[in-house]
Amino acid sequence: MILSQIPVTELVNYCAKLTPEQADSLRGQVFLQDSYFNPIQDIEDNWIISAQEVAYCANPEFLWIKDLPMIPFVPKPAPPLFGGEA
Amino acid sequence: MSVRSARYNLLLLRNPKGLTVIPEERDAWAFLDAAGIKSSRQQRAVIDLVRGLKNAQLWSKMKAIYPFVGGTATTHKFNLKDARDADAAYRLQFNGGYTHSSNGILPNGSNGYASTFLNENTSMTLNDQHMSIYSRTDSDSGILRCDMGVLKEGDRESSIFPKYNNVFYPRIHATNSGIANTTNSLGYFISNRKSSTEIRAFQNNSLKQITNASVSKSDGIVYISAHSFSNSGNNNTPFFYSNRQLAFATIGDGLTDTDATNLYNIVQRFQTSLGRQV
Repeated sequence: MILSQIPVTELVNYCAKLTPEQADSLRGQVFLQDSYFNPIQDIEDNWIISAQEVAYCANPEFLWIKDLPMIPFVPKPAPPLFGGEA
Repeated sequence: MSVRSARYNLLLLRNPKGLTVIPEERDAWAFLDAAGIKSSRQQRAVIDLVRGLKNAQLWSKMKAIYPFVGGTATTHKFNLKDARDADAAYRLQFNGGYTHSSNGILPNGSNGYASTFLNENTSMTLNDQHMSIYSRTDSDSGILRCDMGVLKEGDRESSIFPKYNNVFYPRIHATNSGIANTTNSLGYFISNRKSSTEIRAFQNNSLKQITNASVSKSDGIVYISAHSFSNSGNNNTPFFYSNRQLAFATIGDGLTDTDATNLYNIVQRFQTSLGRQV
């Protein structure tokens, strides 16, 4: 599945899967004016970027991300609240 | 004649009493020019915002003011207090997934966050600090989502968790157990400390007082739409990504109760003038 096959209302539930090398190449780069890529790892340690970064990317250098495979987004579990609740 | 001078003169012409423009409004125009905001409605809202903050003696207490006006990352990134396009001016850098609109900044809740470049340890004063956000999204779902925060391991944190399992966690220079208060995460939230012994926080001008001892500031960068965390293996790593749309945010000195009320009224009037109040 690629981005164009996902309904707009479902975009938040999907992400684009990257190789580690692709993640390195995107980290800190501009995908739209004043907006920067932020690759993260999902629950299975896949490197991913959000569907929004793919959809809004207008940097000619990175338009290849439009063809990345889209997968359901499953986040890593969040750590507990810092300092607990005491 | 520069564009800025032309606009300044236009403002003079618009002044209904024909009086000299208040010099303090130049700060508003510096921001509007930097952000390239052309809408007269948005211009009036920002000018009124600056005027209100100055009249209430709040302007000098602010380190950063993010009005999120204009609808793009480029217009949303500027700090009203210092409109230079520079990290040192605490101009925001948006990372990951955001949707920008006339209603503000909407992070995706998975990897979207904004760096303020403001290091709490070097820029703020212990026991004299506030953070605030204006949320247009009601969300909880038992998921930890932070709308502004900073922590370095070994230090203590400053943050705003507006709603987690129906609890508002306002933290400044310490941790605390939060306040079981809230039925939603809508409106204006202020984490605030002016003493070493208590936090006086606010949701929509409702005071939430917690007896709480301060410990330390954090040597880290304050993030918006997430919480930065630093230790031996992390350098300002974002955690607790938020999915709440924000329409305003500030970082500054501690506020009195009167300050907080004035700030709430000014911010609510600002949101109403832009048709995005909650």
